[in-house]
Amino acid sequence: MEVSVTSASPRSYRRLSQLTAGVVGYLAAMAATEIVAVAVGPLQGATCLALMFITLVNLTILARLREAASAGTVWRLLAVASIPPLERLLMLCMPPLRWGRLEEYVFWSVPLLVGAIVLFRTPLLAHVADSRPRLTRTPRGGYGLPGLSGQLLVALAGAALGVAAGLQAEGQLLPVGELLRAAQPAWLGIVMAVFAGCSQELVYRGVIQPVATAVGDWVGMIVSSLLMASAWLAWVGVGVAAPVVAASLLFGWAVRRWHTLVGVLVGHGLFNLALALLWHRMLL
Amino acid sequence: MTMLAQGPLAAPLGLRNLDQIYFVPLIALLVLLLEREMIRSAGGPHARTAIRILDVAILPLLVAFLIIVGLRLNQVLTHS
Repeated sequence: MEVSVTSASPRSYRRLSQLTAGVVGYLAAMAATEIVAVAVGPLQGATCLALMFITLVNLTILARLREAASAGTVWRLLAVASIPPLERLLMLCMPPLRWGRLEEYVFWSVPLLVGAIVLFRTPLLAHVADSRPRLTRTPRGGYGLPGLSGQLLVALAGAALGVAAGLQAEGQLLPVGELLRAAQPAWLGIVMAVFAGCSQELVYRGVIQPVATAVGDWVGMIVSSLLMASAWLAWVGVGVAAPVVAASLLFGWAVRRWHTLVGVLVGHGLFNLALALLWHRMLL
Repeated sequence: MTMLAQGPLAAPLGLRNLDQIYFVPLIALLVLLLEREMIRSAGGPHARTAIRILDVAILPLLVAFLIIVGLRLNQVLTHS
């Protein structure tokens, strides 16, 4: 399933067509489940997502058994493709809780984080062990933060985009004292919102993006970033689509550039923090 | 018996008040657990590979199930 642009054999074209058809079909199925969740109801949408998740898990098993003798990338693609439906399923099905006055579906990120940690220890990422992004380790095996100034800029850009999203959603900038007073009873919800952002980064940049870029390079990065943006928007609302899509693409590019997760973890956390603090109606 | 049926122990978890959507991940979890057991009992050279993949899929749903039950218990205990 390796797609090489330089080799122009009919076989490579056939593989490219198969891959494109698979990606388009997958994105269409994800979009269809969102339409069902909005137009028909969350129960029906969650049912579609659960069916999609179970199907993808079983397709992963079949592909893994078929590719047992070779390195194989189809089963890896199918395995990471099963994560977004699971995330959306958890978002829809976790009970809404009132932490202070912030009512959010905050607990979906905990099972997702557990799944990501387990996935790091499986053979799923073995073929990209040298190039996959890490927290503090460099691709050469040492410890450090490659591109520290760039990472700082990415984190600050995440905060700036979060402020832009908060202002776009709220429509006005309230006095800082009033914002802090409103946020005080909802502190745990705000902490969970920041935690959810970090969990999403670990899953999408740490697991999905390395597998996708190993197959599709830039296209893989863009597809995984847009998938993350869609899940992010499903959580915070489509009213802040522009900053969310921009942040997702920026984070995807940063991880591809420096192969480290620290900058995007901080950036996504600051984005969610700024959005939760500035979006006054989110706290009411 | 009547006292028990009408008291707080009649429906300790208030399952009738639960939204149906909470059962979707639970049913998905049951399906995967059932499949895992069927593969395990069938055996074969590839059973271990299939079970490993299923285990990774089951774990997040299991954690979600425990969170839902824990939050529900917390809600019931704080309101009783």
